Amino acid sequence: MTMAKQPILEIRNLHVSVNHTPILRGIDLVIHHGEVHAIMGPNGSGKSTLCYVLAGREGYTITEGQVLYDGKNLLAMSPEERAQAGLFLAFQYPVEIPGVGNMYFLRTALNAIRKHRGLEPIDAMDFLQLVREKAKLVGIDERLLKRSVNEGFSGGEKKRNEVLQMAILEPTLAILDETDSGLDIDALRIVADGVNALRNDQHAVLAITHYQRLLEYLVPDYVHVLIGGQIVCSGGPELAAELERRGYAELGSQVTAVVQ
Amino acid sequence: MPTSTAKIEEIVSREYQHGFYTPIEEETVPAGLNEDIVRLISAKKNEPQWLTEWRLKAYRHWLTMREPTWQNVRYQPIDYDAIHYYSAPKMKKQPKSLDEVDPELLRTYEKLGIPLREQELLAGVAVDAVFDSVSVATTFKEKLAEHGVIFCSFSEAVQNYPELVRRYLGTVVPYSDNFFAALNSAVFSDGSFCFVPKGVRCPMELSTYFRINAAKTGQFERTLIVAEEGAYVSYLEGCTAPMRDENQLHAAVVELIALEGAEIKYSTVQNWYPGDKEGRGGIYNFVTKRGICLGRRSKISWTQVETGSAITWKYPSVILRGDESVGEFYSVALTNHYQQADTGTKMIHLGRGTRSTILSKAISAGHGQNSYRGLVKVMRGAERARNYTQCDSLLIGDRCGAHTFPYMEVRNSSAIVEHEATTSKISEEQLFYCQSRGISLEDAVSMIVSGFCRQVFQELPMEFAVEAHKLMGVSLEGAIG
Amino acid sequence: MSVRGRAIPTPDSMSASGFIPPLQGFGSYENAFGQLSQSVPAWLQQLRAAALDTFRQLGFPSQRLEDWKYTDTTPIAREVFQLPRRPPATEPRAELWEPWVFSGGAAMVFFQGWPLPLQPVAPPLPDEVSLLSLQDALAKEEALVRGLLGTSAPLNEQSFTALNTALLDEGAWVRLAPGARLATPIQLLFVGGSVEHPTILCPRNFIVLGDGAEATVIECWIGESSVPFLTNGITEVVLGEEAHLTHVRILAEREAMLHMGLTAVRQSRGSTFRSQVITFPGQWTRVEIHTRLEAPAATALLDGLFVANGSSFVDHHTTIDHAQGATTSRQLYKGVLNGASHGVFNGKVFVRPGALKSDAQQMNKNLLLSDDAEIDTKPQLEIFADDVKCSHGAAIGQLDEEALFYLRSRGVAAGDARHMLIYGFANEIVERVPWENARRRLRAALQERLATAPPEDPA
Repeated sequence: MTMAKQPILEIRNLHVSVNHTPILRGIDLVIHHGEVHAIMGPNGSGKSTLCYVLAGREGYTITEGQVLYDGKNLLAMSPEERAQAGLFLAFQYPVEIPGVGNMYFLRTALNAIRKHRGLEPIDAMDFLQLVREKAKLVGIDERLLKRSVNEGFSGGEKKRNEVLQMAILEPTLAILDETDSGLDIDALRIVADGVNALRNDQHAVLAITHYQRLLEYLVPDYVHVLIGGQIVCSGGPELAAELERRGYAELGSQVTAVVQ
Repeated sequence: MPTSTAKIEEIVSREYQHGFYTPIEEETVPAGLNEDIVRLISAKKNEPQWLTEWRLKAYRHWLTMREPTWQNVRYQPIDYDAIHYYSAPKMKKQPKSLDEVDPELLRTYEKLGIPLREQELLAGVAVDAVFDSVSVATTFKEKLAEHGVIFCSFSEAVQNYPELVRRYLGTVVPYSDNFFAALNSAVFSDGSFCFVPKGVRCPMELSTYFRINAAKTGQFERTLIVAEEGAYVSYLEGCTAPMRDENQLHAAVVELIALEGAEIKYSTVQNWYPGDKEGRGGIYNFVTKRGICLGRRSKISWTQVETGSAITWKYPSVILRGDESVGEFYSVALTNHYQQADTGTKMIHLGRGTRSTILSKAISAGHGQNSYRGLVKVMRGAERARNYTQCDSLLIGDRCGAHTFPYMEVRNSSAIVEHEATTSKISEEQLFYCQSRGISLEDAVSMIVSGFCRQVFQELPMEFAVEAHKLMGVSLEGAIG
Repeated sequence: MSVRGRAIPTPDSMSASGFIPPLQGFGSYENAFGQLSQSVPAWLQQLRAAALDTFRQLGFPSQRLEDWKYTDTTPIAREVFQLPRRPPATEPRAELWEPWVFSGGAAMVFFQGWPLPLQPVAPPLPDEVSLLSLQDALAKEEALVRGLLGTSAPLNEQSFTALNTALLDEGAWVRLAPGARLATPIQLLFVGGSVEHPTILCPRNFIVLGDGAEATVIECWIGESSVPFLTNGITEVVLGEEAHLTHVRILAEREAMLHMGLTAVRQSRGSTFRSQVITFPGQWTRVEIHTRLEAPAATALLDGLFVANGSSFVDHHTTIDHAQGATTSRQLYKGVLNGASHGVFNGKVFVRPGALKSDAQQMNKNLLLSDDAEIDTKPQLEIFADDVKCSHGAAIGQLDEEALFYLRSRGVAAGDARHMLIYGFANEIVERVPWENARRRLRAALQERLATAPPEDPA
């Protein structure tokens, strides 16, 4: 099928500024269905900016370049259109929304996406069953689901809640923004299992991380290193291990030397 | 009571340092107020007819007004007929240079730490000195004139730049604004005038020192600052007075006008005589200060350190008319012994995208009562207006009080207004920590209080910041117990 | 002239000026007073007469008074009110009030201030609980009523309190003996409206918990009226040591309903007063809570919400008086304003001299949904003791942009996300009501007033 040839995400020479300060300075990245990509980089390299730009948050100026999602201009879509088209961002710092029930929130989101896919709204009982099943999978206490969105959740519980949402919404492209940060080893495994469960030739994952740790559980097909708003090198899973051994500083200076 | 608390109170009561009186021959008008006195003041200043008329209108309006009572301060009724409304050091003629100024006066300013002569000590600061009701000396006039900046006493401005004065006087604080502003408009005797023309960044800090000297006089000065398009000026005022058993009234008016892109920074270190430990004497500091950001992207910033006066009652305000204009208010108010303060600000948002910031730090010690009162008003057309207000109170001892009265009135759905306030005492843990590192209790308190005020002090020009730190230490003496 | 300290203001100190007389004179109030049933104890009749005198001296508060700065009493002062007929001429439509009886526990229903002879289907109350109409309580427990009346809401210079006392005839009497505990809420339902002439009603309720008693009381004030219908009601609450009361006060009125409500509370050592005030106002509403923390370890937890549309005026006022040290208060009050409505929040916290280790926190948050709406908010701290922890905050603004983006990034359309956040903003207070049936009823009312898609909770 020619469809499989079409990348799910294609970033071409993306330049992004925040308040006139350039943050991303020419990103090129192509992700196909079924692939898992990891982007690693030190603090301040532009990792979170990339995530937010892809999810459509305001406050970022695209000064150059384009992003195609499934062949369409992603940057012209509203955040909800992107979500409905199957793009999902697991937030590094999920937002607390007092007064809005977790279940209500999830069902509204799921139905919005189902509607876009031409499906009927999910039956209340089916939904309850689906949530229970997935909650068990990611190890979320059912009582948390009855609370307001992320309200009073611990850091780890928030991250699991992101993975639960991902499991229920079944995105075509899941972007994980440092989902591993602040997690203990058990939680990390649960998150990785959740992502791995999603892995097949129709779905793709872009995992942004600071450390190699997550990648031991979530073996990527490709690893990219982001420094100073540019992807300075790309490789296979072995690159992550090398980074862990040598650190960003050495790699960074090496790359800078090459560029100069 | 823990010993440290007892000690803290002891540390916070040293004598007022600027309480001396200068024996100088003064010319004083008879006590009391009537149209003749108003005319007399105007005549002494050789004022044009329109200004005399304006004063008289103000006086007649004042007669119809009642002294306000809503403020959270208590004082004995003021006998307006017992006040001398004009008092001036006797001078043959207006001094042309410092050499013509009475040496006694110059010594007074030197004693206050403002050596008008030794300008190098105040490098980069032009000073206008107001003694009782009149301006006695303005330094650096020529240098400022090179840049087109006018900085002189109000009386001189009336003589030399009558059109400028006439255009702006009373446009921000009309004579009918309030009881004390009306009184000031009728009897004001001097003050400072500053005009910074289009595109000029005033090359130095401008400063006025106000000194009340004579007994039974009121001080009614008037300050007018105009910054034209794109101009910038930083202005400082300092105030002191002798120690007297009776209360003296200080009712000033300050008007600031910022045109498009202009910025005015107005800093006050107010150290009028606060009265003695028993609450006898001290200045009633009832002042109307208001600025208007007339033009787009203009900015007015008030910074005040209020440690003196028996009663401080003032709300330096900003009317944000120009789109995207900015108003700021940074305040430290300290009340010790029987001092009272009811101070804060008003931010009136009229223009689109206007922003204001309010930061108030109030310290109460002894029997001091300290109130923050602030109004943030967002009018209907003020799209996307923003305000952030923070008010913190620190209590030292258990006989003082701290009060917070914020008013927020919002009529635009895109506005965001936020207010936060806290009240706490000086922490025993912090004191202990400092002491355990070898710092004396006195220094520890002063350090902690200064830390509490730091964000405000940062807004002060350097010379004033140093003075403010010192003042806090002095004003708190005897408060630690 | 020397300045020696100053008098400490009391929460209800008012200057003598700043009042306005009824615009049509006091005659209608004197007539109403004359029509009251005289078959009450002599002391009560004397109290009413004294209160009428006070009211005649005061009239209604004007906006010159700091406490009434944003509250215009003209809509009340201009009317000529009558008392409702005794007993009422009609009966209320059941569909109007039945949805508001939801607790499954004991309930009293008042129509135009008159107790309806309904026998609520509820398990009988234990002996140590009295639930009576005020007139019945006067017959059965007169000494108790006499000892308590006016102790929480004293007859002073508060004109609405004076007016309530002058025209006092009925109300609810809820009394729990020491140690009594009720698991199910008691409901007090007040149905107003359905009158032909401008009408005034002055109910007086009592909730009295003995030492160690525990109860939840839910007051609902509902009604609609095309002619002005003023409820000027007071609930006096007295909490014994270690008594715990949850008091939910729901107001769902419409049209020309005018409402002045005061809950006045006195709290003993270790007592807890937990209050939720939820107001869907008619034309004009002011709801006040005054609580006096009279002994250490007393705690007041106050939540409030108003949701106003149209040209409604609504005012939530709180006064927390930390009269003694080691007392705690928490407040979270919210407001949502749409249309051309006008909302006011005024929260006062007093910490008296010597009330050391007092701990007070107050937060007020408001959403303005229309440029024709107005909010005036005034959180206020008056602190006379140094070793205290007090803070307050107030925010007026838009929806949280972060949350909006989060919802949209999950596929929820921008408009729906907005509605969801508005609903969530208000619902945070509803969710604090500790009774699911009440929450369910309130969520429905919220959806109706916010006119958003019904967010049913599948959980």
